[in-house]
Amino acid sequence: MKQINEHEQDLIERYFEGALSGPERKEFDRSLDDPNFREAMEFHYNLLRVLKKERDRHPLKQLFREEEKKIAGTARQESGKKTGAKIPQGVRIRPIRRWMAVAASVIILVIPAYFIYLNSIDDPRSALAQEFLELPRRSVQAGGGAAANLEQGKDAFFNGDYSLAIKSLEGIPPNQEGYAEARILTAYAFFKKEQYPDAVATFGQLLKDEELFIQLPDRYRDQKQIRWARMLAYYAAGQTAEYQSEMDYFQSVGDMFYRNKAVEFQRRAEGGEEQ
Amino acid sequence: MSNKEYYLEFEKTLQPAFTFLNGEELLSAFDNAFKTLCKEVEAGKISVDGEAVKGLNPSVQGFLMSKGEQYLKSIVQRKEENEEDFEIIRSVQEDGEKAILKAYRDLRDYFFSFAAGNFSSIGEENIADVFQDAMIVVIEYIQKGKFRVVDTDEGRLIIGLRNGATIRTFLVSVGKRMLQKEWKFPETATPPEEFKDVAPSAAASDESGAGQEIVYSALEKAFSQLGKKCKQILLYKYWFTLSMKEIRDILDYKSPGAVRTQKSRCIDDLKEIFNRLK
Repeated sequence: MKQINEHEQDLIERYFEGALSGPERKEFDRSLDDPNFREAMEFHYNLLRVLKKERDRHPLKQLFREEEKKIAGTARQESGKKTGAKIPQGVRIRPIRRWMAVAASVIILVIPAYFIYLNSIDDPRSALAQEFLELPRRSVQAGGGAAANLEQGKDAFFNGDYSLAIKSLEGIPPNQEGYAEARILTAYAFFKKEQYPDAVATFGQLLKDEELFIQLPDRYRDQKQIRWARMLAYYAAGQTAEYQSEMDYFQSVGDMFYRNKAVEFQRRAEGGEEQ
Repeated sequence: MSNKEYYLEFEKTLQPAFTFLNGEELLSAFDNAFKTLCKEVEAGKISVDGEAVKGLNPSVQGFLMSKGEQYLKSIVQRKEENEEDFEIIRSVQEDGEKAILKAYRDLRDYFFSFAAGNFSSIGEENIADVFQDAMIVVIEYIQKGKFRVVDTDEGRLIIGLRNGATIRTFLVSVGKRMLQKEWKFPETATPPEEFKDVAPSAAASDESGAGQEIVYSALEKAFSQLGKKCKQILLYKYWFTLSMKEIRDILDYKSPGAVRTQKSRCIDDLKEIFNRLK
């Protein structure tokens, strides 16, 4: 394993601690083109996996996990009791057999994924669906004002109600916390609603406004990912010149992942046009 | 006077007033006072003008005593000021597992609501995982006597929580860093997005990720060959994301600098074994 310098090592450690600032993140992204840096990053990533396993052996961890199971069990029982009280008398509820529950889960999980997969092959514009799969989905209880709008918008977004998502997320003023997150989700929602020019503009706003970009939560703060999404929106909006310029960028970038993805996308897009 | 002579005088004067504190705490107070002195000299607040020393009243020893005493007072709280923590620490010290689980339940909701409010993308299961890790740190601080309760002639005291901190604020300060890491390194064993976004190196070139598994497997073997101290340092530094000072507290090193040096050696050893096994 080749050595990297102390600063680079620090950059990697802080990346995994989620502690990089915006400019540091850019430096980190640039450094990924260096194979030694990448190798060091892989090493650190795998070290974290090893350490996680080591942590699992801690006696207190095992004790706490057991306790957490008990807490979850109690919560389930209490929620079951509450639900039970609402069932009208005389109505017989037949318990779902275990195998039926498993089968139902498989259907619920597999079928949508299969359609997303098919969709992504047939229509290059749906390549964005993959990005959706990677977006964080957790929602929390809302407070008031902007926080409530954000949570309502996120819930709507992840439940596929993009109109409501846009309505809620657009209600967050620029000076409020969560505005940056609202903008990125709004951009994706515009895309899903096939409002491609709006999607182009919103992705563009995030790419242009550095302060806004820096405020994005870590998971979304990926310039190439946003730029890629905007390129798809250009394509779908029929903005050929802009699309081609971005496509040229991705096909020439020193990032093999995006280069391959771009070549494949264009191949499919051209194939689609021929048909 | 040398540092050692300053310290001996420092200990002789302050120890009688703080009999319930140990040598390590007195040494930390001295270190802290000495660092403050250095900072004030660097900032020009204390300077030499000919024969006279400006900004130092009355002397170096006096300055160290005064700052040291301030520090020692800052790590002591009366039971009446913080009943909840007194009870948590006392019961964990005396009752062990039962008390640990009670503390777990008592602090759980507080931590969950903090995490949900500040890290809304992290799922409940992962918050529970982080909460458990942060609780491990809290309990280790108590079990190692870094947070402890004592009976003195002046009443019952809590030692170790600095500047009016509480177990809750400590839990959140430790947990916040862990949540930041969790955000970046989710529970799943899949590589982070960046791994998919960049040209794969030789070690991870195949699509199935088998290359990653080879690296992981060799690293796991290399890690198992490290000594206990190294395993602990790496675990606390990189998984629990503790500061060097916190690691010093838990693992009883002399200073944060000593932890840093040891950590570098451990990483070098790990890389060396890993390269041999690869």
